[in-house]
Amino acid sequence: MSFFSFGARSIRFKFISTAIVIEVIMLSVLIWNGLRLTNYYLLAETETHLNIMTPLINAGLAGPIVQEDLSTLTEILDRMTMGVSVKYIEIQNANLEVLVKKGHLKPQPWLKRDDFIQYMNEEYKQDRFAFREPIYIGSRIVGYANIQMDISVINVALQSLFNQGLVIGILEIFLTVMFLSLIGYALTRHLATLTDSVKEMAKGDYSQHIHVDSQDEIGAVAYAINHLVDEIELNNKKIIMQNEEIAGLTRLSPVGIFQSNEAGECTYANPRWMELSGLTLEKSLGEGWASAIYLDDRPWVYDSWREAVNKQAVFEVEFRLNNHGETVWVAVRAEPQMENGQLSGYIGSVTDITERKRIESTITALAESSSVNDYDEFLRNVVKSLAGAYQAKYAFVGQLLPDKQSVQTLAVWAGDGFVDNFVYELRGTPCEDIIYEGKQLITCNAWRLYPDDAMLKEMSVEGYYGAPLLGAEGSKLGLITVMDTKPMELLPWVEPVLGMFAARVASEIERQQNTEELEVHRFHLEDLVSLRTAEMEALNHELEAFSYSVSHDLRAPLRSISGFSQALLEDYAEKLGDEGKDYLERVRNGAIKMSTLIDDLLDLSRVSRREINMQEVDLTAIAHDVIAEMQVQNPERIVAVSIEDNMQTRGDEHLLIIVMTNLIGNAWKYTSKRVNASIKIGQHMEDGVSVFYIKDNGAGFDMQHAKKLFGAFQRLHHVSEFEGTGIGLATVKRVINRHGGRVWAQAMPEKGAVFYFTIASYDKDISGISDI
Amino acid sequence: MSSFKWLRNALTAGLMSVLMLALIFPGAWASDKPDQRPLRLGLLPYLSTEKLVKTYAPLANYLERQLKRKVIITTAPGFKEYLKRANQGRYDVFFTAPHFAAYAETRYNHSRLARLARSLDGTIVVPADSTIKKISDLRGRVLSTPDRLAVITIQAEQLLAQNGLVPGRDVTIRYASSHNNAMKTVLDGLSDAAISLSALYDKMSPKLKSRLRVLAKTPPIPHAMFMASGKIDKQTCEAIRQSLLAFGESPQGKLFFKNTGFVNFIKISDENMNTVMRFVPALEGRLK
Repeated sequence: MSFFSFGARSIRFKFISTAIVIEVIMLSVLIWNGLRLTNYYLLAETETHLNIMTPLINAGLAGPIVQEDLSTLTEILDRMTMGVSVKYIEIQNANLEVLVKKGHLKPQPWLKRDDFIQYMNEEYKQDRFAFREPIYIGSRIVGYANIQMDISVINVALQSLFNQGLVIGILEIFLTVMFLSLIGYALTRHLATLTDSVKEMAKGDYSQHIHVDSQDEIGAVAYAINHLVDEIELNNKKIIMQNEEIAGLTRLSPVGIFQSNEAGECTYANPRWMELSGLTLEKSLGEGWASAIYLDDRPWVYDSWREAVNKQAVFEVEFRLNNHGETVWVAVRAEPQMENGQLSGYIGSVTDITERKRIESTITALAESSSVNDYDEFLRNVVKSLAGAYQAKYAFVGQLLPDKQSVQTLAVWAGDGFVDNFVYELRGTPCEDIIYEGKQLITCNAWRLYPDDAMLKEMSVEGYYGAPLLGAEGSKLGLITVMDTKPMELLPWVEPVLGMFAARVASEIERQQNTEELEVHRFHLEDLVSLRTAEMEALNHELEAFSYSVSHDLRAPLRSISGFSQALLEDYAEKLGDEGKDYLERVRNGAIKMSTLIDDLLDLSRVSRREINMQEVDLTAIAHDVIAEMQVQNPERIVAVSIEDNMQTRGDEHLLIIVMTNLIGNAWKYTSKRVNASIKIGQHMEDGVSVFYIKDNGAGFDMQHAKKLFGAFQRLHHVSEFEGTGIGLATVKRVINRHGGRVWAQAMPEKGAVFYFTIASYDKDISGISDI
Repeated sequence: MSSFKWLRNALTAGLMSVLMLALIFPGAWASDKPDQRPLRLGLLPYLSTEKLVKTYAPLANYLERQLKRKVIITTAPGFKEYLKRANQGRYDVFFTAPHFAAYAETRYNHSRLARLARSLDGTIVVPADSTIKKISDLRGRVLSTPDRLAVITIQAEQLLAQNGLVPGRDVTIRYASSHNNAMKTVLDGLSDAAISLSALYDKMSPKLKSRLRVLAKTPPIPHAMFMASGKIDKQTCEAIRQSLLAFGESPQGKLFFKNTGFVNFIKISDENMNTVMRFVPALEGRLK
């Protein structure tokens, strides 16, 4: 133990040494301060003495100096040097000629009297202070008194004070040590006993008690420690008992329990672990536990374990153990044990999840088998999965034949592969009971229970599980069975899983039956569709022929009527008279209207059939063209037109020109009776879609009739008010529909109308949208 | 070879001669150099030393500037010692009583420099209520005088003798340490009469003066004189004389004369010196 390891020293040592240190410090301060004050006051007193003495010297010496009265001066010097303070003095006249001197001169420079304090502070080792004092009469220096004063007395006084202080200090420290040792012994005697006893207890010996007879705080501490020791001993016994209980529980635990150190090495494993792993305790310890892991699982399990240890994280994995060839699925969960913030190890459990894994694999197999489209492959997957799930040798699916007496197998798993399907009689077999009575769960002796079933006996079937296959309406479709040559364990999951397989297979068989039936119907339907298509094509041809007939055959006579009416009006106007001309004019106008109507209908027809040619379309340019055309046709009209710039869209330009021409034409037409007619063409965004509009302040209409607005031959105004065929808006709607868009209107009578339309998404290919 | 020995002996003898001359006549060696020693100014101790220094400090300062030499004021414990020192030449310049000056010039070959422009006379005072009405009434009385060597004292004793009184026998002479103290003894009742400088009596406060009565006055004689030591060279002596004579023109001099009542410094004539020479025998008698 180093002297400087103060913390490890006894309290007595600390107590005495601290007191001594404090004593030394305080005495040092005291002596130093005493010396300082003494020095200060001695110097101040000496300086004062000098200051007082100087005028006296001046008064006493001035006259004799001027008089050069050497005897008087000598007498004065004799008196001045009688004491011990003046070691040497000499009197000079104004010419620095020494008149008298007394004492022994020590060579050193003559200073000023005012330099005394500074000299003493800087040259305190000197024994004399030499100063020159001018002797004045009035303002005239008549001489000098050069004095060497003994200052050693100050240093002697200080040295004496220091020596005495040092002796007193040493004596005081000695007495302090003595007294403190006695007091320390008296105070810490019981503490030492207490400390020794506690050290023994710290070694684990709780049998003894501390014997301190004092009634002070140490006695109270001793009593408290004794009580604490009793409590600790009692708790230790409880802990031992609890440890034994825990050990018993661990030993009997149905799950494996293990412990590891901070390096991940196994330090403990309970018997259940050894049962699950097939390892002995000795082989399990250290890193030996990993040898029980399946070779395929070992790398990643080991990596996971190392990662968890490094990260001090929870270790939670599921893997397989190879227990002497038998696969045991286990779920391991281990939590880190921390001690003072450091990983001290892991404690974990190992749960046997073999059965759960088997169910999972069964369900997985069922799901996988269900995912295949091929009916036969599905059934083969089912029987193979079924045999695997139940770890049985045989499994098959059978379909009840229409005679209800026999079964046709659809898929058969036998041992290690599929075998050919076969037909067998139900009578006397467990299959009969399955189909007509329900599930059969025979764990053993199956072949003995059904002696008439030769096949069972031949196959030495012991365990037999089977379930009926029922249709959606309860119809008996067949059965599903799983068999083994050894007894089969009736676990809780056996029956529901078997039912699940049965239900799935039944639905598949029923679906297969429905599919076959639908296939028959589908062939019939295709024939029907072909027939109807042919009829439609014929009708379409007829319609085209009708259109051709309208466009050519009907328009030719109309042109004749119109033309000859015009000829009559021009050539025989005088003979017809006014009434005749009026009739003929009406005939001509009727023919013209009919021609217009036919043109519109043909346009409508062409709009419907025309193939959409998608391209970039500038609606602003189209609007300008249409307005310009309108203005040419009606140059007398003054209409305030506003067309928004940059109205771009994608569509069939020809069809969109028809739309713009119709909508702008309507606006132009229905504002014809307005003095301050205005038309505004623009666009805005709604829900990310461009909405184009044509707004006018024309005649408007009642919104009650808005539904029939876009119907063919629908007019909201009488023809006498505004001309028209009622085909235009129907054509607009058809074009917009073909573009996947929408058209609608808002209006008020005599307040004008707004027609809105949208085009399908800009980049959307709408060529496939069918007409309505 | 012999001719060189002769030349060497001749040079050695010449050099030795020069060295001898230098040792014998050091003044000649340094004659061309101005005397830079401090000038010792002796003052007759007719006042207390402190008052003496304070009074003559302006003159000393003036001379330092004029002569460009430091001036040391000095005096002596008493008239006798002063006279002795002056005669020994310990003062380069000394201010002394007129009969001392005559004594120094005639006996010690010191040089006269200047004197106070005013005259010196003595006044014999008695208490205002004294029964002493004339000199002869002093018989059997005590007369206080300044120093025994003071010219006033000599004058007083000569006056007593002229009135048929023998000093020391018919009249008890009491020597005071100063002129002031002499008169003070009368005021204090220690003596029946006192002789002092008339100038001091004139300066007395009316209150004190009312307590005294003037019995007689001595005839005026030239006042105190400045003398130069015979060791001072003539050039320096003349410079000092001219400085003293010009002192009254300087501001310090004007103030000095105003404070002292000395009027001015003027030349010492032969007549002045002859006037005071008659006190020299009495002085010499007292010095023995």
